[in-house]
Amino acid sequence: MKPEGWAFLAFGWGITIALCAYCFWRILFGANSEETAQRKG
Amino acid sequence: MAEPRRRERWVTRIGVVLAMAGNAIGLGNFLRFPGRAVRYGGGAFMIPYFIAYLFMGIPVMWLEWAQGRLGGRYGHGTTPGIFHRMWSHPLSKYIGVLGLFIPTAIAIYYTYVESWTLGFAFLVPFKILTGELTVQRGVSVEEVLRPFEIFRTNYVVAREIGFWTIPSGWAYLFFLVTFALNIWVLWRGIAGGIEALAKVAMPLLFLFGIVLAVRTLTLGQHEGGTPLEGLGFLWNPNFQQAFSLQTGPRVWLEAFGQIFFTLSLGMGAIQCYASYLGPDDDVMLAGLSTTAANEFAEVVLGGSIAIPAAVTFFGLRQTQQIVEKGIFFLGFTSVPAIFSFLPAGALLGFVWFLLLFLAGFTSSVAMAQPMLAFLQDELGWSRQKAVVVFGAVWFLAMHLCVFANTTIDVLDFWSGSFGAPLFALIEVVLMMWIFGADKMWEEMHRGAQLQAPRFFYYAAKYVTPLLLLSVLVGFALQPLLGIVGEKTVEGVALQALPAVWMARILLIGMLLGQCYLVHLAGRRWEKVKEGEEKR
Repeated sequence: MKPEGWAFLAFGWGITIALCAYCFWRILFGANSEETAQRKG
Repeated sequence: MAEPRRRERWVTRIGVVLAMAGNAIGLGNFLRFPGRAVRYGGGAFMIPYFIAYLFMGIPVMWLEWAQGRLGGRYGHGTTPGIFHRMWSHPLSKYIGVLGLFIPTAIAIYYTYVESWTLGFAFLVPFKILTGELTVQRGVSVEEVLRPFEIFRTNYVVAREIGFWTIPSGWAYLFFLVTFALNIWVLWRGIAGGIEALAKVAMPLLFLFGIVLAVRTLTLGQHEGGTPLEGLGFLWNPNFQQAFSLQTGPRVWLEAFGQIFFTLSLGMGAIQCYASYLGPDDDVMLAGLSTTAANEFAEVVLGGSIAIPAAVTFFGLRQTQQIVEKGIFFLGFTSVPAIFSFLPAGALLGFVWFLLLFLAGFTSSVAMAQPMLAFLQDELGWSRQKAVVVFGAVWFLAMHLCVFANTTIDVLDFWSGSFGAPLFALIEVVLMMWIFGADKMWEEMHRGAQLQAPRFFYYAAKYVTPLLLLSVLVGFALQPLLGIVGEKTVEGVALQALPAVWMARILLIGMLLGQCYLVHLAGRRWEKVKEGEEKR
């Protein structure tokens, strides 16, 4: 794999994984998540 | 205004996001995306791909979620009622019929294709174990693939009589099982059926995808090369192809089309699912999460299985030829052949096809749901009655695809390539230009946990319609205007013209029938309105 290939892979994977992690983290553990709501009663 | 009939609701937020992701993630994530990326510029393909994601994928996803939730507030789960509510023109509800027609047409052929994955999940590993599908190493790639290709062909078409294609007994059996599973989930409703399915199927799908991607990327050196060379095949950019005047426009169009089709936009299914949200449930974070889950399944998992595995065992040139033969050859012939070389190959083959089945299953229930929602919301049917009546029509219509499988291409062309971009264009214009961009922006942010940058307001209003228009022109109008030689506009050989016409008549009949049902619904709305005025 060429260095440019690595750069594009890092870009594609990076943006996708980061966005996915951010969204699901907020849904599962964010301020208004069900889990938080349950914890707060 | 009378209180709308009590509608079902999603139980949990993660459930609705997983169900929406299940709707979006389909066979295309694992087969169409890597094939397109390899053919159209490798890493350079990702430039127009992410531009389309930003300017079209995310905005349309948000708009459809918001539109669906707005409709649900007034008791409408499908676009005829939603359009009528947003634009008080007599024609609006009939334009909204496309939101019933497209998913129903897709459900008819897609469920049959989905049944192949279930059949292959059980039959291919079994035939590998019994030795019927084993191959020796060191023989040519054609010889390796031949038994798998013969098996695939005979499975789908055991006998041909003119344009009629008689499937194998196994294919018909698994078609019945798949259909029964779909009906079972739909019968159980939104929370007990679709949400429960998504909560089990989606984590399993991601788990299977990660297992197969890790296994593929740790294959090491084989006859064709290494998995890294496979990743290079997919990710090394070909700037010349992506930016030259001769080939560039096609690359960009394919990337726009990939984003559009992978997110299942313009089908009416997202609005239908979103209509089961509460009036103040967030749609911004949830909508973005849907696109993010889909992109993870596509870019990370989809790009790390079929192509790197093929390059590792068959080399670059042969993989190129496999990709040229289409996604079914890649997914149903090449991948199981490769897994048959590996220890526990039967298990890997099973996991691969089960992954595809789960991707298909969660999409097919989403395609069937709009028609069921329409019958319940607008005609007042019970869920059970709607499932029985629609299920019977659906079951009969699918037989056209089972026994004349060229009709699959016809249904796919008119519902997917033509219908979906057209409908997406109409709905974006309706929302941003007729209903009003400011009102829509406000609607999107009702109860939102995420404030979208203002950039998306302008993107959705000015840029998204242009991108949708380019997809429509590229994928539908171009073939329609450029009828050439020995194929119909749907890309089917002229010898199968009677089958093509049968499919076209089915589609026309379905469209007219749905228009009539919408007409009946319109009369019901008028009666309700008169009743309210008298009161």
